[in-house]
Amino acid sequence: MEKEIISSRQFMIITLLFSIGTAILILPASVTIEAKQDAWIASIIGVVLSFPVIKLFIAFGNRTPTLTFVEANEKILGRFFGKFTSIGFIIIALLSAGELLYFIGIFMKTEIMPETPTLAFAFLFSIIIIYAAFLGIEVFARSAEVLFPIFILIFIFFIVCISPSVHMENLQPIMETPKKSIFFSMIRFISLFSFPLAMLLTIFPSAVNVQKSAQKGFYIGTILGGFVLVTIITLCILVLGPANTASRTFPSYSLAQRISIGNFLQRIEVIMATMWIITIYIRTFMYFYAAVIGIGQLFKIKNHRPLIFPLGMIILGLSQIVHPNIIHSDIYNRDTWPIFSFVFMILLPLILLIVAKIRKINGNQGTNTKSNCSAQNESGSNNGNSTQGVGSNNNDNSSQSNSSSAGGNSTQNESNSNNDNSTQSNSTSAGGNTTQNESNSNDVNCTQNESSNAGGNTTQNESNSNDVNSTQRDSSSHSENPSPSKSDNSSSNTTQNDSDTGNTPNSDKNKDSPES
Amino acid sequence: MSISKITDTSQNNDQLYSSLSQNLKMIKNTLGNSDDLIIREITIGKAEKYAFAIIYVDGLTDKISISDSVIDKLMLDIEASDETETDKIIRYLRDSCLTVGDVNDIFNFSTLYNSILNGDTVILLDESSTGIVTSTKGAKDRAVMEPSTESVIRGPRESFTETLRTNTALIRRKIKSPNLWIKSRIIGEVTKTDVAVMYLNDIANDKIVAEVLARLDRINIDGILESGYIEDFIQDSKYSIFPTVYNSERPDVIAGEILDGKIAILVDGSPFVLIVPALFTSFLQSAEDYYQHWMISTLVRLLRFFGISLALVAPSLYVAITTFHQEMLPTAMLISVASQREGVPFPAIVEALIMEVAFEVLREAGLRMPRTIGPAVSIVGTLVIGQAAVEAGIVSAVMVIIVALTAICSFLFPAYSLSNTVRALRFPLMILASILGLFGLMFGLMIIVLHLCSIRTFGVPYLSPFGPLILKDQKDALVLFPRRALLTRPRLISQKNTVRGHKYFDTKKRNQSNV
Amino acid sequence: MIMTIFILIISAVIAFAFIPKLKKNKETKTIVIFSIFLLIGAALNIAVSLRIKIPSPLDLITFIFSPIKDLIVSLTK
Repeated sequence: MEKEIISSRQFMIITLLFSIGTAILILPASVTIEAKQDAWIASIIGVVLSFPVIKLFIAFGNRTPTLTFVEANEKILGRFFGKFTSIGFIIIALLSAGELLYFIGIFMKTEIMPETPTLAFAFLFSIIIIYAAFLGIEVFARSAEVLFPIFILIFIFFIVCISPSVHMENLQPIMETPKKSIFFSMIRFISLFSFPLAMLLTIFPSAVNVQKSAQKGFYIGTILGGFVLVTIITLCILVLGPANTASRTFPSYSLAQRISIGNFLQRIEVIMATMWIITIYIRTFMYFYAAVIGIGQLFKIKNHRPLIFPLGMIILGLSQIVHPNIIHSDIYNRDTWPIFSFVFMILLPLILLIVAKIRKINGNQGTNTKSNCSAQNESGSNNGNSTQGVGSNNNDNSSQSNSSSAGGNSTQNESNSNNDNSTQSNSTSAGGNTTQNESNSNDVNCTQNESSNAGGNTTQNESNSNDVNSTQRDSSSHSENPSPSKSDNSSSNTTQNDSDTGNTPNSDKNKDSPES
Repeated sequence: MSISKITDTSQNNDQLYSSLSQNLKMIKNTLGNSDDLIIREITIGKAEKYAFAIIYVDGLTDKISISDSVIDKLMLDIEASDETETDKIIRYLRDSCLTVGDVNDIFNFSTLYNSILNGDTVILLDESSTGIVTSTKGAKDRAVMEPSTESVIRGPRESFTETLRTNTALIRRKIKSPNLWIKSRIIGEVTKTDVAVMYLNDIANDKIVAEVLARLDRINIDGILESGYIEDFIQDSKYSIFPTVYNSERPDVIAGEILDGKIAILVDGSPFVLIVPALFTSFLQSAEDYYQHWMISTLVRLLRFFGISLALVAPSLYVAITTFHQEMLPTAMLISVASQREGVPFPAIVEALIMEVAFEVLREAGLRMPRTIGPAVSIVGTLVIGQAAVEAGIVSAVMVIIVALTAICSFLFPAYSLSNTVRALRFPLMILASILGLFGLMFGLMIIVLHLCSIRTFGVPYLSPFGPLILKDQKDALVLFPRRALLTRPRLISQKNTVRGHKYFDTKKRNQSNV
Repeated sequence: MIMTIFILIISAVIAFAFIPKLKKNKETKTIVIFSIFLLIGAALNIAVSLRIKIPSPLDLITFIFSPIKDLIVSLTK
């Protein structure tokens, strides 16, 4: 399977839309039941508490930057226990995917088209998911990038249209609910909003091309997703009132139903539903993709494509049996899901992280893991900085690059995946940067190789973004002057990431020739 | 000169014979004594020693050139030569005597046939197995006229013709850079069509150029009659209905694309020139956008985009809303629509299908009609038949309006290929909308979006700059920025040389020149 | 009944689409896993279409985690 990579901007968009997921539909009710009119406070606390969760994920991801979650499981815990925990992870992914299909079916059936069986909706939706999984994560990321402006437009339109109907007094009295209720609703919020982000570990370090901005993207995506959710919850309380919100299954849909502007723009809730369908699609796909990739790696199957269809059938079947009715789903989401997701999405990465630290595993037959490496580099040895990158997985390796002015920086990144290998390229002023990333894995590294050259290239990397690396590959900017390119890079670092998707085509192109 | 590039075949019997009569007999037999094959045998020289034969195909050659530059010089000037050996005669003819622009030696029959069938004249000498071929092409071709499919209000009114050389010249007139390179190929076993690839060397991506040439070389077919054949062969996505190769009839459009770093493929015999790689945004744009004011162009582009979306989903929306989501219409409109649909015996989807199919029939028939009847029938067809259908109670008035609107909107795109795709995609979306309402419509649109995201054309993602969001390229995608802001070329197309040139407004220079 | 046949047809199509290619590459493990999942999927869907009552796996999960849940609830009460 050729490696597919996505850019960090695409990853941020995926994170954003994934974290919103189904939460946008059911969370307002879920948190308002306990916290009543202070649900918005509970949500804000929940978003803030997501930060340590994300930090955990990022730290875990950095341990094993080129491996997906399942592979990392096996590596860290050994084959037997690793397989055991992987199976648990895959089960939660698969069950959740099925549950989400059920959810879309029940939503459409309840609110929009009551006479259609839920199987029809689930069937069509599963076809979309299967098709997307078949096309791959790269195409999916691109489609998320295309759908994102639509989502934003509808969301803003939604907010603008509903604002005239707010009643500020619905928020009062503030902070009068008991702390325990706020605590419980916050637990529910987090379990639906940030715990599932563990699914992104399937793509997080291994499929994203630039580590540093991917981490930033992770944070930003979550913050923005949290912002959207808090806004929706607040608006629900403001417009519908806490009792009303708590008693409905899909309060945001009721919110959309209330939009009425000038007696003309009304009853357009189906257009709002597009917004939710987009986020549900992203979330379902990620669950499904995590399950498919997980099973593929569990059984060490090279090509996971054929597995997509049977698994698609399975989640379709699951969607029909997983909840007999909406009450069952409600109880499940309220009682069981927080614990279930906590065990497999928080506890498991935590345990893995601790074990990995104990066993000193950093994804490489790692010797030094820590910033010791960085210190070495900074000494600025002129020749043969070769073995700098070998052991290191840490993010902190960034400082490494600064040294090594003259040639012979070659073997810097031989080990797979260090996030900051890219910055290592800074050093190589004179030639000889080439062989930096010869080892597979980091995309970032790879790109550096091909550029190979002209002195100016290296200095470009200094600015954050590894983005530069990607462009270096194709541009082979021998001719380009260092200075202009430098400015370019700094300004458009993020955008240049996207050229990765443009760059990989080159490898695709070369593959294309033998085809056709 | 684009004489045949077929190298000498290694067959021995392909070599020219020494004896003139044998050669001529061979030629006559192979061409089946066709009437338009003219063989003029002359004997010249002192004591009428030298026997020449002049061979050409009538109709493909420029007769004046033959008689003035070839026969005239042969008959009159050969006297001046003292050469006696046949080789030297040939060389004398080629180097000193013939006054034609392009003269070459030929040694075998396949080159000979290719040459005379291309319109060149071949001179054979008795007792020599070498011949001379002179370029005398002069077939009648169409004059450079106005483009028939892409008219603009403001802009050049030239269009390509069917002759390859005229087309390359038209492009060269627009781009006078020495970096504009042409690489030719001959494709088609039987038709031996000339195909030329033009690109700007310092801007176009070398890998893509190499890939284009590789794909052209791989084509194995008996005949290429139109650039559409080539398009089909070199496309990346063979099963996708979306076009990944752009074509145009106008030299200014093609020149603009070449300046962007794209590659043009010209096919002899077709006035439609192909451009690769073509992104989705290429089909949204028209040449006229660049000639008008940028604000107007932005508005027009947005209008086009809106129109084409309407053309895609309007019938489906009608079907979905009237069948499943009646609550979405404002009440007054709902009542009037309901009253119109009262007498219609068919469900909305059947009504929509009937009208859409009828319109497609009318449109297709209108293409083939003689010019005099055409407009009358189309006006009559759409309005009168539509009106009559409403009065007969077969369809509702709303449906007629929607179909008319859709039809007009689908022609908003200047690129005919994408309009066809949109028109074709309307029907599955209508069916989906009738099955599952707006959810079905959304399902169809998601599948289309996913499909578009997966297409790559020559390695470049089809939906860039929307797919991988490249902010710098947004200035010429959906909206258009003023000319002085268009400073860079699309990033994924031309990876070298992305800056367009000097700054538009260089005050210092201007002040200096004023001094 | 019709749905069952439909499901069987689709499963057969999927099988025929992938198994020859996999056989050619001699990836027996993939074929085995693929077939197992295909069987499970087909069986599950047929059961659903015949409206056989299948217990939800989430009930099992709930059952496993209920002691922990009770523990937490009692702790916070």
